[in-house]
Amino acid sequence: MIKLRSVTKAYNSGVDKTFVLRNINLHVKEGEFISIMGPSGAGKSTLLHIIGMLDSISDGEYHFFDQPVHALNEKKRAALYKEYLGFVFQSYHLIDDLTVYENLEMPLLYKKYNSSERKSLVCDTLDRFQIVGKKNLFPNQLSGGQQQLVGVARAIISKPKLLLADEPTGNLHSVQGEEIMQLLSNLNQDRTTIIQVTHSEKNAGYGTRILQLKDGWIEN
Amino acid sequence: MIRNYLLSALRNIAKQKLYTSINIFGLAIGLALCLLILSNISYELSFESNQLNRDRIYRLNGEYHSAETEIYSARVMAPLGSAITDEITEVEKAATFRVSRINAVKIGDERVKVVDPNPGALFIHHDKMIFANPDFLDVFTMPLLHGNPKTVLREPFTLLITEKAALKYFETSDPVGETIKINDEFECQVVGILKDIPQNTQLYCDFLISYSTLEKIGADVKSWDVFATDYVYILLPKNVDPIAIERKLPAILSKHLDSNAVGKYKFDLQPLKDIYFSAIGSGRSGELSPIGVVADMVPYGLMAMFILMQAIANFINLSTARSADRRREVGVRKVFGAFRGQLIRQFLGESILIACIAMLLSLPIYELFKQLVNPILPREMLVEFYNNPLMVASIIGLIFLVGVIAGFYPAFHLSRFKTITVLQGKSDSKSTKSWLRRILVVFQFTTAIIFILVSITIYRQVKYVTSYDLGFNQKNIIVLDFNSENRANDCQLMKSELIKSVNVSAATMTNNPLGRKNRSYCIFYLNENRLEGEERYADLIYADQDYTTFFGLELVQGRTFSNEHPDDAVNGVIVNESTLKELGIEQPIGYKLYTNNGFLEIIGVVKNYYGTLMATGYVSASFITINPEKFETLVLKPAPGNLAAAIIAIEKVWKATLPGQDFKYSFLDDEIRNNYSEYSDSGAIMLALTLLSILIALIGILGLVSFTAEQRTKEIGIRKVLGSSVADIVRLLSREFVILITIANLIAWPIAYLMMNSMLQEFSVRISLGFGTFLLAGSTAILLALLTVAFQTIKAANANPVDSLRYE
Ligand SMILES: Nc1ncnc2c1ncn2[C@@H]1O[C@H](COP(=O)(O)OP(=O)(O)OP(=O)(O)O)[C@@H](O)[C@H]1O
Ligand SMILES: [Mg+2]
Repeated sequence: MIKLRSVTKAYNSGVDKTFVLRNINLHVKEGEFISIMGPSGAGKSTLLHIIGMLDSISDGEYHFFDQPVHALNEKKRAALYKEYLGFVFQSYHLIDDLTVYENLEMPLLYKKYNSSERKSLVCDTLDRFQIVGKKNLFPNQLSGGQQQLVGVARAIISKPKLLLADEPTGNLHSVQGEEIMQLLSNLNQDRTTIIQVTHSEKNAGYGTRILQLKDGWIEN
Repeated sequence: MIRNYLLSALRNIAKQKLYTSINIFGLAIGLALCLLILSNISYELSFESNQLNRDRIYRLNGEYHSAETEIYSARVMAPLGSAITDEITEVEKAATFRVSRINAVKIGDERVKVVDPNPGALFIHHDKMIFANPDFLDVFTMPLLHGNPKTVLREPFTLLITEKAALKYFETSDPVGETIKINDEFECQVVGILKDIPQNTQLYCDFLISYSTLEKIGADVKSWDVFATDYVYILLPKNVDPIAIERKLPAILSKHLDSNAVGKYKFDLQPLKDIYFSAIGSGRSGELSPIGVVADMVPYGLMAMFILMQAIANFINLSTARSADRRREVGVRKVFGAFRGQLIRQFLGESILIACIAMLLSLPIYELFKQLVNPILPREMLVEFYNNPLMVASIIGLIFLVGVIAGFYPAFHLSRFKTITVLQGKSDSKSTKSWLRRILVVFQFTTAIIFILVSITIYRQVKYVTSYDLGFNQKNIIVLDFNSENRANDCQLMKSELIKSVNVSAATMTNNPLGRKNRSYCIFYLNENRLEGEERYADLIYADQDYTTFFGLELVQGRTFSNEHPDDAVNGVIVNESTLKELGIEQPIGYKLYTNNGFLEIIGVVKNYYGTLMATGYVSASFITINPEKFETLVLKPAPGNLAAAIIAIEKVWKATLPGQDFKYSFLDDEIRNNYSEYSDSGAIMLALTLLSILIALIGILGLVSFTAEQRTKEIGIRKVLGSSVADIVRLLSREFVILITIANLIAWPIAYLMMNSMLQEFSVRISLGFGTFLLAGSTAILLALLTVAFQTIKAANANPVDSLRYE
């Protein structure tokens, strides 16, 4: 599903370049659940953003299914991630002015679902995540765990093939964190490919494979 | 999708309740002012829109060229209209008419003098009568409530009266059969009632009198060689080229004039639609009033636009300031598939929504403004917007215009954010944003300061002219006006009775007391040959022997009028010093000034006096002569002591001397103050606009300051922990505004100077534009801004630093 070949990411800092990712080679098959770990500043988020097509690579190749992502223009890339990808963030990033229901509906609005399809998808998802009672609340009326629950629900509502999560439990208590991890592993069992970044050995254990990143290198 | 946008927009508004609502309020005020201007434009464009045949009516304009003169006129010779309908088959109908003023009417024994409340104004639009031929009602749309349009306007001495005039004069809406005497000249019978004529037409009148009446009262309606007496409006069938009609006119003319004369005339057909707006500066005599004077409204239109732009600037500022809050939303929406275009549409939609709310709010404000402004307009000038399609279109147009202008920058600015930087929580470079903000603040204050300066100038100038020494007595002077048929006589009678009274210490008769806008002038020549082009104009006052003494005009040479010199009443004239200087006369006594049919001889020179301080532009001199026939005003100085008792005594004499006539009086100093009412009115409008402009500018910085204060809470907290005082922090946050407003002053001053200077040219005496005024306006702006800033920053600076730091 994902093939990264000698991927490099560098920033120009004044005169010389700072390498954030060096010569990354990575294959991900459908159905995998990968945890990326490593010290702060290692480049984990950068790698995730690259896989998520939000960031471009400086060198190397990135193939997603059979599409050469590194060679696609912005618009084509956007179309690609719109179709296949879902994102979960450490700080949830729900839209404050929209209710739970509307936050869930938002991705569907940009994906040409008609209104009855949207309605049934949102209702299904609310059901599945057992947050029907919360659908008219605003994000600031929810606990952190509940917000992240909505965050995950929003990410998978349009049935992405690949779910990317950057420290999804970073801001949560351990009990809430465990619930979210349980949820992710359930999703994985339903054949959603997942790549998460985490600092916790325990959370990494939910995955099928662990990648250690250090100074931009993958260590094995 | 749209619902989603709207919801997020409405909630965003709700979240920022205070700032959003004061901004919406500012916008509503700006919009209401623009609506007022648009309402006027719509009104002007609506002229003659009630004429159903509008597109087929043409007016016949005439020109006459000979070796001696050239005449351009909106009128032609009287018989031409009917000759055209007789001889050109295409012309269906031709309205021939003359317009006159109604000066007085008499019904039964009761005589009403119609007093023109605004003499000489460009907008005379009342007390008019039209002498019209029967075709008039076929050409023009003027529905009758009573009477048969096919037969009225035929018999001499018959008229149609509008319902409004009927109520005014007859106190009934159906006076058919009654008679009325007009201008003390002729009597007419009412044969029909006209539906009230709207004001937006040049054909407004109270009476429509049969054309045949004219002939009976001795007017010349037959001569082909008397040019420019009658309006002729012809009705053409569809698809007839007016040029083709014009070409046939010389042939008609040659049947009635010799071939030599025919060539001197030229005619053209002007479409009815074009007449109103092209009248000003057309160079034709006899253009009907009112005429479209768009130029007069331009300054007000600009002011309204600037205030609206100020309000829009606030919005742009606020939404960019708020964009920091919304960057995250933009990032998230992008990650979940929003394209930039969709986001631009979302943000534009939001600002259009806000514009929509502001517009709704502006409608009642507009109605309020209309109530305030209507009484000081010289005539009806505003439409009822809800039944005017142009107005409705303008309202919708304004919503989109304001929405797009206000939302354009924020929309593009916000939608440009890179998803990834936003989600990583990095801040964008803010330099461009704060530059835009600075420019907008400078713009707002430049506008406000110009408003302040112009207001101060109008106020000072009006104060200056109202307290100016006019060079004559004006305190405690009572004015009695006479308007009966025998007014000159009545005036004499009253004077001889009143000077016997102990309550009156002095009296004089005149056509025009000093201080009133003069309505008489005379044409004269310095040279006996009376060469064309050398004519001069002078204000002319008809007075009796006591006039100069009464008004305390000080003699510097010669003598005043005296009974010992019977010639005084024939050709004696008293002039003032500035007249002498103007005419360059060095030995004035005995100097002759030639009028068209005689001469005036200077018998005395008095010190300067000013009837009015407005620069009239043409009157170069001022004469006082005797003419008892012209007396219609008696001016009285009550004996010192009880003024109220004096008035009662005068009234008693009036009742005894002139039984049946209403007693009315006024004070001269009140009238003099009224001379400048137009300026004090526009001063009041300016003051209101100035306050609005300042208010909106202050709303703007209030919003900005509270956002900077919010964004810099942490910085403020740290500074306080490190020992800054509240004053230090206030200084920190207000420094930028002081700099910006100083820049605004420097831009505003020269612009305002030019504007004020050109405004003062309308007066013959002017205040000087001192530096003090500028300093006053500038420091007012800075002070108000500082107060606003201080209010917010003190709040921010007083916050407990621990609270703000704990958040991080
Ligand atoms: N726009 C940028 N310009 C320059 N350097 C950048 C930029 N974005 C990221 N970096 C650098 O790249 C490196 C990796 O950043 P990244 O956010 O991927 O680390 P991380 O592994 O996710 O760390 P953490 O665990 O703290 O989230 C950091 O050293 C960071 O300073
Ligand atoms: Mg990270």
